[in-house]
Amino acid sequence: MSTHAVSYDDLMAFAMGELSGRPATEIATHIAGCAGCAATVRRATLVQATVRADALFSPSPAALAKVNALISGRKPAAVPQDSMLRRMVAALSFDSRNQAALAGLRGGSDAFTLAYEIDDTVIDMHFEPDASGANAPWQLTGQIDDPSSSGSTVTAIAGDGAVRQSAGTDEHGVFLLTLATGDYTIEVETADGLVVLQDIRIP
Amino acid sequence: MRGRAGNDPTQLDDAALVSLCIGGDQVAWETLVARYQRLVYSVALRCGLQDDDADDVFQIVFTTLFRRLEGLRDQQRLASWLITTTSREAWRVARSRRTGGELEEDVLDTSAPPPEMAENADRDQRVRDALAKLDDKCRALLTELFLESEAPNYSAIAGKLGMAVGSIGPTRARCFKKLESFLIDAGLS
Repeated sequence: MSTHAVSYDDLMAFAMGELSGRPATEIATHIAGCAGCAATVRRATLVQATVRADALFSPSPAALAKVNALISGRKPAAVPQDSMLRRMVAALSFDSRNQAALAGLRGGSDAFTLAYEIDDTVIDMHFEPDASGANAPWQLTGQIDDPSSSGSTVTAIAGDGAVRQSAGTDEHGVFLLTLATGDYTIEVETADGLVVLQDIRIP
Repeated sequence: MRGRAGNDPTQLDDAALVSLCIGGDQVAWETLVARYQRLVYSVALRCGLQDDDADDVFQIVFTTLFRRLEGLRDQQRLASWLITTTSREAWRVARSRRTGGELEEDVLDTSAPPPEMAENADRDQRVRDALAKLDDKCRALLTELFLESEAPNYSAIAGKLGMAVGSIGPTRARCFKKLESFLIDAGLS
């Protein structure tokens, strides 16, 4: 812009009506032949009109206060099965049993780890069989790697839709569940909605 | 998971704010209301309502928005829904004032906003959105200068904002250039 006849500051002063007489005339003449500068003046005039109108018109403080208070009637959702909250299905990104199979190791009822991802958050779950016997429940230790996830509710739902167990996450996003053999969906409540981890099988 | 409204909520888009509001986030809701309060109120006025009726429409529209948050969570920008909804409610109130009572249920909905009014309202909202993207100092300076009439009191403005008088011109130019880039991005030619 150094070879441009009119400085940006001049355009601003002109657009805001600060100039008069010859300086104003010179800039008006320039604008008539310069589309770029004309556009800048047009935008400045538009912004000025909006700012001035907004200064004059606004809802009453009482109406604004009532509208702002609407949110206090809404509690963070405890989620029933038919909730209208947004459901986000997380993707399975890691299964330690696949790694074992790839390495040629025999699978079995040994401990295994799953990882699910949603947006840029990872949910790790480690499944440990009970040492006492084949039919004893497994211990599931999970962690959500999102600092805002403490105090979330994690719910394990059996294949028939029944809730088997719920637990809260601690300050590290860690949760503990004890689950019998079967197929489960695990749901994690968050501020954004419900994160759903599907097709979890405990052998 | 997207950040909560503790990170500057004014920089979150509508879809993110709606998502937070569904979770009961008060700051997110107040941010959404602040973002669109003048759009809704000005459309009500443009529909010919007086202040009291415009206030009523303002409350009705935001109550409707609040009740329909789940259904609106995928909207990137709520402006056009708000313009349409406000226009419809303003029309309903204006009609009931003229007929002296509530409308019959089967009255045809002729309350689609006139295209020019909707365009102007939308354009003004894009200006507000662009101003909201500026840093606080730029927004404060430009607002002070734009509100002044032909002979702005630079000394008073400089004092109010803690700036040197001589820096007002260059700062104004720098700030408006930034604002202009936001306006161009928003499609304002």
